[in-house]
Amino acid sequence: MRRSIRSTELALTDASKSSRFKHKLGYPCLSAGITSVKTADLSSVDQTSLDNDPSTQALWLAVYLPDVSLEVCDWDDIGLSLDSGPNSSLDPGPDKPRLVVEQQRSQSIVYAACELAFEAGITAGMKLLSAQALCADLQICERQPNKELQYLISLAESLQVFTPMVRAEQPDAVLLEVRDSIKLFGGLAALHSAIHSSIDSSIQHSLCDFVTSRAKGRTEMNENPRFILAGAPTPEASLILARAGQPILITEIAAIKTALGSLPVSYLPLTGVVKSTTRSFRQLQDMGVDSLQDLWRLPLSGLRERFGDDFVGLLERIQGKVMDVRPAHESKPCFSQSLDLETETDSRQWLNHGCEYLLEQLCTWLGGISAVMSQMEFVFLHNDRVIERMDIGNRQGSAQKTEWLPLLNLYLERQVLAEPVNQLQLHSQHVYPAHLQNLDLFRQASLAGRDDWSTTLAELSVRLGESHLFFLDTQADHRPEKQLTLFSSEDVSPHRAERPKATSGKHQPLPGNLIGSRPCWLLNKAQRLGKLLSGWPTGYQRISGPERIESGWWDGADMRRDYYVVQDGQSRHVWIYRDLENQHWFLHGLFA
Amino acid sequence: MGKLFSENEQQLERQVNQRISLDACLDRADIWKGRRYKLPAYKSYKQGLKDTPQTDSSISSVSTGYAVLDALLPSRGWSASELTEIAVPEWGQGEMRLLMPCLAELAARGKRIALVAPPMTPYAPAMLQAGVALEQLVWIQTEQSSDMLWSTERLLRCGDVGAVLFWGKLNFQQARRLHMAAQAGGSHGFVFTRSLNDQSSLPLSIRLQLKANQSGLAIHFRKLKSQCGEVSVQLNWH
Repeated sequence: MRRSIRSTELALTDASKSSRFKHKLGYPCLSAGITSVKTADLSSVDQTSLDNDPSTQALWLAVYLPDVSLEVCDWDDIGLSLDSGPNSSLDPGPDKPRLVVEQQRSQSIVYAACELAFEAGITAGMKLLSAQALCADLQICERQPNKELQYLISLAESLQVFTPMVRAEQPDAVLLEVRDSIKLFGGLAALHSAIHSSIDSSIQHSLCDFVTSRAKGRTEMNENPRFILAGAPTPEASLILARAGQPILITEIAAIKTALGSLPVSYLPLTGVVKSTTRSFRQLQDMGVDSLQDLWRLPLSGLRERFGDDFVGLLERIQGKVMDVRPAHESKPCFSQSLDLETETDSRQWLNHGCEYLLEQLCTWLGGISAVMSQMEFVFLHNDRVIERMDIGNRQGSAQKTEWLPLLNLYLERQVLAEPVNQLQLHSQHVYPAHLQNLDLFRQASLAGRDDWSTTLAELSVRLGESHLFFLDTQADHRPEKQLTLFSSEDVSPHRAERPKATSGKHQPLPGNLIGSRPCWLLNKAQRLGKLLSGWPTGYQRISGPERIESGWWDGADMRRDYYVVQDGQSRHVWIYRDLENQHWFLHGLFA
Repeated sequence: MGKLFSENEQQLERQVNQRISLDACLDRADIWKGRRYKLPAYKSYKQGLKDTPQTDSSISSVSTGYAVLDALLPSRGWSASELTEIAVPEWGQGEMRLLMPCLAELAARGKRIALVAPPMTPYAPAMLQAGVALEQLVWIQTEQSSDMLWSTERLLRCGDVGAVLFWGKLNFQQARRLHMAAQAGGSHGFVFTRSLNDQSSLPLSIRLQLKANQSGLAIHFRKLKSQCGEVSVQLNWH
């Protein structure tokens, strides 16, 4: 037993040596071999032990993004504004070392440095002046914690498709609890690789501004951004592993101590746990504690005396002796994102690309919160001035990009922008949980195609506008004009493709005295028949009637009429009435 | 070994059985399909097939609701995937009354009915009286003729639409496109025009002209598939 642990330790020590990985040290030289876990390692994990052992209730994955502070800075702008020396050319160039600095006690301290800077000898924690002494030509940017958090949250939201328990861990990581998703995704190995590729693609997307990078044809942004994905049964342990650059996966609590043992104590997240981080680390060093396994051997009571309760609590959380409850990230209830275009444009192709990109983001977001959307709004802006708005609706509700794209294209085909725009915005409007969505049991096949009713209706309302599309309904009123109600599809509740049955004509019938037949076409305004006709109008032959309708005294639209069905001079069946107030005759409808 | 083989065979058979689609099941005559598939219509359709063996059974049709007309039309009713032109000198001759039984039947089958650019407001109580469920009706009113034609084509193409009633004039290409859309969607297309002496040859299988008279409606078939020359029919309302 002892022997086997030793061998693991040795292997880990080797790994940590090969990755010269130091927290906040800029680009570490990661060899491709250890950025991804080999599936062979994962398949050796015993699935039954995962299912049965109650002690391994959770499995936390930590995604560590070492370069997040570097990535959120807008280096193009920095390069142009800060470089005023004679050497600065118009092209800022990707070759200058980049630094992110932080103000600490009125001093600029290097917070993160890129690979080039690292090669020049600049490390995190160095004073800016020393860094400038090492390398004169630097690109420097202030640290932006808000942007970093935003970045982490957007990554966390894109990972919500895998598990609801996702949270952003400041300053540079995202945590996921995936224990319950293992079965759904077909095993740990499959889940791991799915998460890995999802992070890969979402990092790439958000890093390089979609339109910008395409337009410029830049290639340097497209290189694979780095991240470390590590897993352990406790969140703290998985974070430590990831931040230490160990892309490994531990599924049992008992293995945590062994796996973390060889790491230096400097990986302990002591900020906020002890009063002075540097003093505690020095204290540990003085005690002869270099790696975590030295720490495991020490009695907890002694450590508590020296470092306080919080320190011991941290150790217990790492080892899973204490429950570590963390709230999951909650998505905002609506989606709103904007995209800045590099130049002003009204080119359809560019707009198509931009809109499609935003739509993809929206659909990913919908997938993450398991919701569907029945309406969204695109806004086209030029320097924050709204040029055009467009609403796109799909009454059925959908979270699929493939269902929204034809509608979007249909709209963009007809869209002519009055002015060029330089910003696009997309807002979700009617979002509701996916389980409220109505799907026809027997029509699954046709739903996949483009020829089902809701798609047709959505396309019609996009092309014609909602105000040109009507549905008919009846109202319980005796007056013919009031019996008809029209509503455009806007009035229909987005939760139901059909009208609410309670108000439909069948269930709320017309007044019972509807004995006489009603005409198919009703004139919008009754037509006066001749002048001063008080007797029976000439040329009309009575078929049925009279039917007296006398109603409406309560709302001012009082009427007293005798209706007749008659045949006119062309033998058409028409509906005429005599107004009993003034004895005039009117034509009100055609039976057609 | 023999046992293993038979097991495999059984598995294969099970797989084949599972692959029968739901649509195929619904096509079977011995499966009860609920109220969407009305029995009388089905029976009359069957009856029609039995009486006239020369009828093209691949085209599904809906009874016109008038025995005289059913006897005359090649598919014993308004046939699906076809465009029918109905010319009237003035609106109100009885053109809607002619179609109402067909529309009611389609609505009862759960199909949608679309009115594109009708000349006047469709009056919902009348539709109810004729037995057309209002849930199935949609009314499209636009000013631009290109939008009207586009909507008509789109609706005809939709599999859930039973009939599209379109008011307007068509040229040869437009009629051809709408006909193709109707064939793609398997829906009924009815085009109402007011042109009486239009001598152009539109690619439509049925063109008829209506004129109201004292006792009912005179239908004059100017063109009818499988019929030589022009035929006239009189429908009496009472």
